[in-house]
Amino acid sequence: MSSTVSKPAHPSADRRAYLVGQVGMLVALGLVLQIIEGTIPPILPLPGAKLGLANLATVAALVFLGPMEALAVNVLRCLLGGLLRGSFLGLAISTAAGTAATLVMVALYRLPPRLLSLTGVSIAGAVAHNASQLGVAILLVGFPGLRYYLPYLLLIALPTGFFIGITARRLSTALGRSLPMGVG
Amino acid sequence: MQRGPSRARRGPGSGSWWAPGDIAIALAVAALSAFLIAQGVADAKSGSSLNAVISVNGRELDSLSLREDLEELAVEGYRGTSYLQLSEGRIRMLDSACPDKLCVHTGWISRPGESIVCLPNRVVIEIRSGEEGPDVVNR
Repeated sequence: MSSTVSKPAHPSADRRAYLVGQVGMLVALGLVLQIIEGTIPPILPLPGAKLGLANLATVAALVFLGPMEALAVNVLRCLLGGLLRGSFLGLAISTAAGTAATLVMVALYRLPPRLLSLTGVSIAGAVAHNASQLGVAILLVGFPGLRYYLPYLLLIALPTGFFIGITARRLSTALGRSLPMGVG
Repeated sequence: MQRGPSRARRGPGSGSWWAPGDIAIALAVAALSAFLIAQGVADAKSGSSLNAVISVNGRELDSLSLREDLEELAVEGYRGTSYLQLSEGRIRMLDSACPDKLCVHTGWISRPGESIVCLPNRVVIEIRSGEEGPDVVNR
């Protein structure tokens, strides 16, 4: 609409439509991953200690689309995912924690890769996620004794963040080869 | 491809799967967790934050931390004096102005929720946790 010029350049309206489509697809991907993860019985009997497969969608958005898109994917996925699970506490905790994690990842992703790889970005995101998850839980439940749980959640974030980072890297290599997603 | 140089360094499939910063982050988090765990263990050892709440005739008179030791504490009750002893995170009734001494026979108590009751003298000792929390959270 905005581009009356008949040049094949990428007009902003096209770019926006492209991004909306990609963000929507990644939100859907995240929701599916969340549901798949929900069918796997928890390995550790700790609440809040999950692999966080759905965060792959956020990391993919960060790699392929950009920081704002990663935030959008994360917030939409958390809200919709929370509604699917039907627990208000879970929705509030996961939205807040997911947003904190995404902000940390967005910030660290700006560092040069020779300093910090996608693996490190993902680990930092997982750590931020688990820490803020517990912070919000303490605020909402009003039980400060939960803080003794923090170190265990932090330790768990190391392997889960590592796994998500490695997987996101493989994903981005594979998708980057087959799809010209990063067009911009 | 026409984005700024800050994006050009990152992108799909770019860079190695690890970098020194990754290890630094992991080590920092592991060290922080170890520190927090050690602190939590120390907290738990120091007798935590349990209090013995003493009430007479339904009125709370005093709250004593179980961290203290007290050889003998006199509490004026309805019929006379009750004597309490605090030691090693526990509390017991040494003697009380009552005919049956049920309270004395209760012995030591140390866990939250436990209580010693001297009905004739209307003295109640109850152990409470300093951090009141919910029993169950429905997630």
